[in-house]
Amino acid sequence: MTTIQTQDELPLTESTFFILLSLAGGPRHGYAILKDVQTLSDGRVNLSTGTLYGALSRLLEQGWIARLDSSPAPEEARPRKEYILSDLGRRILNAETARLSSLAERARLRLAGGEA
Amino acid sequence: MNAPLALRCYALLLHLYPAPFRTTFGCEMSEVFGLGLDEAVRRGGWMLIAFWLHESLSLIPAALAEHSRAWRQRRRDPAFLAYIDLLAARWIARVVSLLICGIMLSGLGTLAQPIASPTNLLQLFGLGGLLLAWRWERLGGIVISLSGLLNSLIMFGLMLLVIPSSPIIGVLCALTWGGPFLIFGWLFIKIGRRARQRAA
Repeated sequence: MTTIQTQDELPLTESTFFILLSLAGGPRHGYAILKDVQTLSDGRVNLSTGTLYGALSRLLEQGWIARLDSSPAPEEARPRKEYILSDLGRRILNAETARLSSLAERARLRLAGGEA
Repeated sequence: MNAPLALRCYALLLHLYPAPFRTTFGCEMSEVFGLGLDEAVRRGGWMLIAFWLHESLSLIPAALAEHSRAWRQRRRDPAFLAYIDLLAARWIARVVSLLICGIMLSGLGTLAQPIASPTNLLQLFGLGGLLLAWRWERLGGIVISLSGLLNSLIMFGLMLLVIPSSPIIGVLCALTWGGPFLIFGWLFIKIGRRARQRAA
C-alpha cells in the first residue's frame, strides 16, 4: 500500500487507534488488548467484548493485524489466540500518529498566538 | 447470577452473531467475557451490574454491525447474487402465475361454451401445470408449455374455421389463450434448469 493509499484510511476511529497502539507493544490476546486500551486511554475508552471482536475481525480482514496461536500455558487445554500488528497496520498507525501530532502542533501554535 | 450461569447466558447471546463470526471468535469472546466477569465479581456490587449492562447493551449493536458487514460481503459474491436472482425469478413467476390462474379460472365460468370443452380442458391442464411448477419446476414448465402450444394451435384452427378471411384474428386469439402459458412454461423450465445448475 502506497503512502497515498495509507492516507485514505485516515482518520482512524479512537477505538481502532488504541487497538493498533496496544498491539504496537507486541502480540496480545483479547483480554490483554481490552485492558491495555483502557490504560492507554486513561479509562476513557472502555471496549466491550463484542465491540473489541467486531473491530479485530475488521482489522484482520483489512490485513492491518494478524492472528496467531500462542503456546498454551500448562493449565490451559488449548492455545490462546494472539493478535499482532502487521507491517501495513504499523504504517497506518505511524501515519495516524503523524497526523495527530501535526494537528496538535498547529493547535499549539495557534493557541500560543503564532501562525498555524 | 453465578459465574457458570452467566457464561452460559453469554454463550447463548453469542447466537445473535452471524455463524461464521461465531465460529471464528465465539470461544475467545466467551473466554474474554469470563475474565472480565471474574474481575467484576472480585470488585463486587455495582461493578458487576455495570459490567453486565456494558456487555449486554453493546452486544446487540455489535451483532447487528456484524450482520450488516456479512451482508455487504455476500452482496459482492457473484454466486450469492445469482442465487438472489434465481429466488426473485422463482417467486415472481409463482405469484404472477397464481394471479393468471385466478383470472383464467374466473373466466372459464363466464364463457358461452360448456366447461368440459377441449379448450377449457386444455386451459385446466395448463393451470394444473402452474400449480405443479411450485414443487417441480421443470416438469410443471413442460406441462404448461405443452398446454400453451396446444391451446394456441386449437384456438388458431377454430378461429380460421369461424373467420377464414382474417388469419390475424386467429393469431391474436391463439396468443391470448396460449401466450401466458408459453411464457410461464419457458420461465419455469429456465428456473428449474438454473436451480439444477446451482445445486450441481
